[in-house]
Amino acid sequence: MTSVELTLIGGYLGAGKTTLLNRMLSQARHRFAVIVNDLGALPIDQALIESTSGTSLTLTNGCACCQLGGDLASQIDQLAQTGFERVLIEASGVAKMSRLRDQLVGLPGVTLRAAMTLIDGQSLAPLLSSRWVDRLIRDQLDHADLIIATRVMPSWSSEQVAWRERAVFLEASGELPDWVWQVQSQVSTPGFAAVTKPEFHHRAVVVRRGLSRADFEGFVAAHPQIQRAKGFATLNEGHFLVQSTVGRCILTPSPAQDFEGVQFIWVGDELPPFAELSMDQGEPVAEVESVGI
Amino acid sequence: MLDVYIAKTIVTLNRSQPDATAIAVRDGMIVEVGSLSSLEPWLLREPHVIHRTFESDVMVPGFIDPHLHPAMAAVILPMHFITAMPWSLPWREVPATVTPEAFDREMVRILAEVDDEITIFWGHHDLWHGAMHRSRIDQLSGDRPVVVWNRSFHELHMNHACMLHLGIDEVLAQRRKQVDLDAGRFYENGLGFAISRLNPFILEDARFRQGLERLREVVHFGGHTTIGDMAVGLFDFERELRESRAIFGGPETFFRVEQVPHGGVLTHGRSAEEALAQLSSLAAESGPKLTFRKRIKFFADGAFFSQLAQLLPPGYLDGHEGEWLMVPELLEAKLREFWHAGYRIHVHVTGDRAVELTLSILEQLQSELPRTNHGFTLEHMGYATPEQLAWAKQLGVSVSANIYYLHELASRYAEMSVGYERASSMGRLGTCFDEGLITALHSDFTMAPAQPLLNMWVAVNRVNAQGELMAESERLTPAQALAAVTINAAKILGIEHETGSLRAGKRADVTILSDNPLSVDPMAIRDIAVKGTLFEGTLRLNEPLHDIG
Ligand SMILES: [Zn+2]
Ligand SMILES: [Zn+2]
Repeated sequence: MTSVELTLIGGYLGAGKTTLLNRMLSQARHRFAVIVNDLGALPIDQALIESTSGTSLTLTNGCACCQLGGDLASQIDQLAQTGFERVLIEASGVAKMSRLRDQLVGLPGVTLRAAMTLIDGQSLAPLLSSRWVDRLIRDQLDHADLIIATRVMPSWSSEQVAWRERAVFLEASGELPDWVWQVQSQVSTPGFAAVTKPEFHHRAVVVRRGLSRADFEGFVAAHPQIQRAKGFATLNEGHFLVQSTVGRCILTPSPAQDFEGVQFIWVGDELPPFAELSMDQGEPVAEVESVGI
Repeated sequence: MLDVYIAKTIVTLNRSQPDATAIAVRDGMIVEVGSLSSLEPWLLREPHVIHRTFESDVMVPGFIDPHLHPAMAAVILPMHFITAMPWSLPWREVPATVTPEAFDREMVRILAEVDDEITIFWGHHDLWHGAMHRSRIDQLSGDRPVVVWNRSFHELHMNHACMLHLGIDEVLAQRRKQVDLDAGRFYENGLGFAISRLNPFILEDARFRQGLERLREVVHFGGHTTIGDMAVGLFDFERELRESRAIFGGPETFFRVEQVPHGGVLTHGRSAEEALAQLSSLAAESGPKLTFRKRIKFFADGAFFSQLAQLLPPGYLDGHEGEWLMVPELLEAKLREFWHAGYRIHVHVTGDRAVELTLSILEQLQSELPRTNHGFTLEHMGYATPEQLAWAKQLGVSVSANIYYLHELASRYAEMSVGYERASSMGRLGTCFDEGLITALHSDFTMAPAQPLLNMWVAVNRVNAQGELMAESERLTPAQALAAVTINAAKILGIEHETGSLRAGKRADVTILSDNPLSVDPMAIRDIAVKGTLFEGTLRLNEPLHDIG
């Protein structure tokens, strides 16, 4: 397979993504394929696409289940197979740059040449205080190799040094400067430090018959990774509401009812041996009336 | 010729005559609801037949599910269900499978029975069934291609044989994002990759049609006489249109399909005028059973099941952020076009931040062009604050809620997503009714089972999957819940003049039940059997599947 070079153009609505795309196509020194975002505001110039590249595909935001049409990587494969070596992607205005990079960096035969985020210099301040998209805009700026300011260069504040260092201003018309074609992607994403948080897992268990309160409490005590347990269980002494937090297991008698199942929350990789507690293979599942999901 | 049906009780949802025992039907229309003696002026004048088959049963207005997705259902229904929750499907009672061992046993049992090119199981949930893994499936089926699809549809696992069958190149897949090849796991964008390989199989013509036919059975089985296809064009506008007409247009279908187009798809890359013109011609050529009207659907934020709902502070426990599916300003621009064109607008909103945005937009539109009876509807409404619902009332907004979220997700989201306070009050339907909002229930099938009685049961009892009562004060009365699956659902779709209650002049759309949902123990509402329906006066009976075992 030939190797494909990607140039990603991101940024919020009105930043000038489509204008830049059209300018790049009309001044292109090579043949480009174009992937444009679905549900976009402005049409890209189909005539330009046809004359310079001959193909365009659409891309949607949102979860994969809503796009049986296939994913971005498959679209790129498809373009590579038809001989394109350079692909311009115009991201949706609501696409997070972090997520797009995640999808694209490390694909076989694909080089992310540059991820550029456009920002209308006049609207930076209002967007950063928007009720709807403030965090999205930060994500788009944090994860860009190059920030391209259109209209005017924003007046960066002192907390925005990391953005200012990567920002350049682009004139609204005329020949595109060379750097547009030469931006190189950084290997790591600048301005972004990964924060590790403890990872919580959960699992629901229908407690099998024949266990006593002491058995249940013993199980929780024996597995300190269990942080919480909540739900209902039928034990030898009766039906109980289970409410357990780290180091404390409270079992409250509860009127018998249809429902059973205890949700356990644990931290770390070590799976508690739920088989000791759970309905085992032999027991008919039909005995349990309710349950979840 | 009049057909007169006698029942033990007829719940009319017509305030002037809430209960009745006889209903007279001519040419698909109700001529009168009352008792045999009150009907006499008709019976004296017209030839008639009196049907007593249902004299010990209960009749309610035909159920309406105002929001489901036939195309999505058509993809999932041909799969083999193994679920932690019992699912009543017309062709099979799917029992609850609640342990990892039982899940594996079910897979083995089904594999022995079927002979699919690729055997696809749907319903795996690691909360109950433990972590899925390629090696786990390999052990059960080494040589036959098998896919285990997650209940939320957002993740799947496949075995080695399936990867070979689909030609999933290990080198290619290994370096893809959100694919764990060792585990055979494909999620998020990796899922898109897997789906692109599975597409020739899951969207194959005959299978897709079989899926739609199965949906028809599901809709019959649930006792519906009307459904809303709440985003025609979700996968492929033309194909959905063509196949829906072929499958639902015929005499074997005993319900109508109210079609609401996907606004994003319909307006993509074209002017509003073009989209409006296409919609007008679709409305004009609507058949008797499948109907477009001045209605449109847009999406604000991400899926509730994927925790992509846009939340107001304090947001999610782990600090992640939801997603917009459309740029807020663009959403406003599109809503404006259809608002000014007089459309009834449906907006998919799952989080309170999306509700806030949507109401802000509507407030602006109301100031530009005040409208009444405009049918603007919040779809799903996972989280909304009490203040937002009061605001919604002032703007004339309706709510079509997926209350099943509460049953299925509340305990899980309390621990893992947003904390107890907000998780327990998701789907604040009590507040909606108190505020006087027109409020309906939907299934978003297959996000929830398409069984109105089950959704009523959740709304009335607010019991989560582990038996815990969540936000008691938000419970509905059985009468409110019944309205939410009949007359209010009709109002959501803008067809309340035709159906949704039982009175003279409406279509004879009736659901026949074994018991009265307004008087049984509320916890027994979901156990009431659906015996059949009258759809525009034509009787259709359910197979008595519930009587077996
Ligand atoms: Zn989805
Ligand atoms: Zn939906």
